[in-house]
Amino acid sequence: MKKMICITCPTGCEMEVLCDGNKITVAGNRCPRGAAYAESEIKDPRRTVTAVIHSANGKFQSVRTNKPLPRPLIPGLLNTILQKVYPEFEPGAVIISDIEGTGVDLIATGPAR
Amino acid sequence: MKQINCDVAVIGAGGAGLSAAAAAAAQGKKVAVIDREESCGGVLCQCIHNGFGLRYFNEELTGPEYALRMERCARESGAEILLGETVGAVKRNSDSTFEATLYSVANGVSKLNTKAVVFATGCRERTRANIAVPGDRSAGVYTAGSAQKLMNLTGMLPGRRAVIVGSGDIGLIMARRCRWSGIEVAAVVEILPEPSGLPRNIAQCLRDFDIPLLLSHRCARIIGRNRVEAVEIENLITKERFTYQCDTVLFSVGLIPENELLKSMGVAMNPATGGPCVDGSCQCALPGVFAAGNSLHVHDLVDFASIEARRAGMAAAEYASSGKLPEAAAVVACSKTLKYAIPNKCVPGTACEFFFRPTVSCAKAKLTALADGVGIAQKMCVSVRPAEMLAMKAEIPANAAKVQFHLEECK
Repeated sequence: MKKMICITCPTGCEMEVLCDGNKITVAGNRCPRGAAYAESEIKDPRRTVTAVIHSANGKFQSVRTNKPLPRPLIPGLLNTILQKVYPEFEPGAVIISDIEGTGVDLIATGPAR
Repeated sequence: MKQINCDVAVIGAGGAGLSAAAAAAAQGKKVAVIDREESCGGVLCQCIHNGFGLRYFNEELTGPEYALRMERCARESGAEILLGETVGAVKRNSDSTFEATLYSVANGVSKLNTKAVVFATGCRERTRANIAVPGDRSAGVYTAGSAQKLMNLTGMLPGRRAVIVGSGDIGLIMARRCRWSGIEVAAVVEILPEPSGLPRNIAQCLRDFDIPLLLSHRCARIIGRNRVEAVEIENLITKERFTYQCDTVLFSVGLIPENELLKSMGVAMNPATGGPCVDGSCQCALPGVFAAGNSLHVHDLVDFASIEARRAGMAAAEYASSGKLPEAAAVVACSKTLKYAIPNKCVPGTACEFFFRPTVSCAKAKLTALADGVGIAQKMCVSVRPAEMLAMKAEIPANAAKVQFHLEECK
């Protein structure tokens, strides 16, 4: 049995997750998103990544992944994007599409400033 | 001198102010939002992490995205946004309208006349000085929010190895932000026996990175002649002291509602919240003056601040039309297990939403509302903690004089 806190919303349900072979049983979640999170956390833990990238003209721009990214890929993504200077993007524009074949995109969240 | 006239003036273009402006403008009022910064959003602009908007927009957004959405709502409703303008004073005229004095680089001094004014001025962070941490006055000591501003708006790193004092959400978010930017985090130090931030932030900002959370510990001293070299930490239970080597200390030790302007108008303040006393429409003791968001009381989520501000904006629009709102004749009080209940007064015969900050921690508690001793609403609350606000709606009976709230632990 594994204890975990659901990070899907600010409620933060404390869940008890039981893994029996391929079968995962979740208790303590107040909505279905908790069960989905628990399953993903066991099989393929993912996080939404947010960062600030260098834009042209000495500006900075905030970015995020449009979906949670597998945790093992996070350091590599940060390492790549923090060492480059990018052109300015409109908020919402895709900066990197399909990161490492995961189907996850990096998008701009705010104006360059 | 530039002269501006409007029905509703909103001071502060953050998550609360923009929402109040959108609501007032949607009622057909001429609305002006004033902010001293050059862009909308207030603190949201530097909160680049996700977790915003689930309640207000039904979608998970980052701070800058939430700010852009809210700005669009305000502009599409017809509100005018005046940026780079600092409000120096607000006074009440003899005809019950208000005059605000604005200062800016672009326009110099301007005068703004309005029928109603909404204060959405947010809050400030408590600092090292507020909690009186002794030691050297070294460089490298920041509030978590100022380090956040440095990193997220100007792209600078505050240091290489940090100790975070206080486990509020801003501190936890900054712990992860540091780690993702290549800054080591030695520990998060919390004086209380339990963390102050949301459980999800303990999970995704500390546990993901194996950052130690030292509960019932305090930062006893900062050491470092020029730059911070170490902090001395005290275990409050064993009294044992030890040091952590670091070059940066971030303080995340609470927020103080920013109400200097409101106070200068002589509005009655609420010592429990640090904000003004208000009725159910967010109106202060001075008619035509409204307050919402973190300057009214510190919220856990911007969504709640925006929802509250929408109510303030609608009421301000109504006041601008009629010059009067229904009398809030029922006084609100609460048991010792609640630090405060907001609003402080409400209108009998209407439905009203209340916000509370508990003083106790327990797994399960019952929140009860009584009108003149008779139960009118109740609610079961789970995992009650001072760090999490409680909310409850109640129908106030037509002749109620006093509404009392009780929070009782359930065994």
